[in-house]
Order: sequence, then C-alpha cells, then structure tokens
Amino acid sequence: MDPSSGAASLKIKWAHPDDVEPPPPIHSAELETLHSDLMNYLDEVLVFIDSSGTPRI
Amino acid sequence: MQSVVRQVEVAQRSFEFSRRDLEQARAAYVGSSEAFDSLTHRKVGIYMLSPEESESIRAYAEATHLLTFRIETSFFQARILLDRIARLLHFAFQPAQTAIGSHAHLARNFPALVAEHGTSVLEKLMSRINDLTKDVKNFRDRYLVHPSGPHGHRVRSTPQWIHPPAQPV
Repeated sequence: MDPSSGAASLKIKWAHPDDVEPPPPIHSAELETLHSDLMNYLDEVLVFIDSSGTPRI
Repeated sequence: MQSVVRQVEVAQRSFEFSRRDLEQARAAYVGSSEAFDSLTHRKVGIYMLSPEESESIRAYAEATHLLTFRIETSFFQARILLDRIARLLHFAFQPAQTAIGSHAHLARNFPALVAEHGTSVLEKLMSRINDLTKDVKNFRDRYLVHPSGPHGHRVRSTPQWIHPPAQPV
C-alpha cells in the first residue's frame, strides 16, 4: 500500500502480542564475559612476548 | 615482530571501542522499546496511528537496525583480535615448521607448534583458546545466524506498520 495514497494509509494493522514482546536482544553480562575472557587470553599470550616485542621462546 | 604486536594493540582498541559502541546501541534499543511500549500499550487490531506513535515506531525500528549492525561489528572485531593474537603466537614460536594463519588454525596446530620447541602446550592457555572459539561461535549463532531460532531472540514485525503520509509544509 502506498503510504501517500490517502485515508487508508492512516490505519495500521498491529502485530499480535505474541510477536511483539522480545526480551532485550543482547545482555550486558554476556558482553562483559566475552570481553574479559578475550582480555585475559591476550594477557596469557603476552607472557610469551617481552615488553620490547621480542619472543621469549 | 614489533608490527605484529602493534596490530594486536590496534585490534584490541578496536574491539574495546566496538564493545562500548554496542553497549550504547543496546541501551538506545532498550530505551526506544520501552518508550514504544509505554506509548502504544501493545494495542491489537486496526486503529489510527498518531504522529507520536509513528515517530516511536520509526525510532524503535532505527534502534533495532543500529543494534544489529553493532552486534555484527563487535563480532567481526572479536574475530580480528583473535586472528591477530594467533599471528602473534605464530611469530613468538619461530622458527617452526608448523604454520598458524588464524585462530581456527591455532586451536588445531598450537600443540604441534609448541612441541617443536621441546615443550608441551600450557593446559590453561589451550583451554582458553578452545573456550573462546566456542564462545565467539555461540555469539555469532545466537545473535547473527539464528537470531529467531529456538535459542535466539524474537523480533518485532515492524515492517507491516504503515505510517501516515508526511504533512505538507
């Protein structure tokens, strides 16, 4: 339907409630965990590299 | 080697930036969703769309699209960081016959790479590599690949809403 076509376009058909109530799509706690896991991993990897960027192997 | 370390630092900053950006987009999404609910009270059926409701729907749809975009960006930044860390480990263990081109290869080949230097892989580090592989994959599947699947979130069907025509100025 063309939204600019007149009075009919002023009405909407609302979605059923079952379709319109999602939980928040992403959780802060999950983001925090992923971030801290990645940073901890990086810290563990940097054990193999000294401060000048030279491998310690 | 310095340039490899530098690439890791850049990827780390980009990932942290994308994560903050995602948090902001998430907060904007939740705010627009709550504003939308409080304005419309979840009406059902056919009725007149007020200018405020129309604007609320537009704001909600925009926040949803922005959030989806930020989730994708954050996922790719996490992957880039993981791949650059894998590259760092590859150079740290040179010279070696075993090659590691990406995080996926790291999970598979790291024990062999370390064994070339006469030592065994650190169990904790190997566990972290495998956990991150799984976590990032789960993140991708839940929010990007199967967002409406049994383990994902449902999405409002915003496209069916029809807005009033713009009033002539």
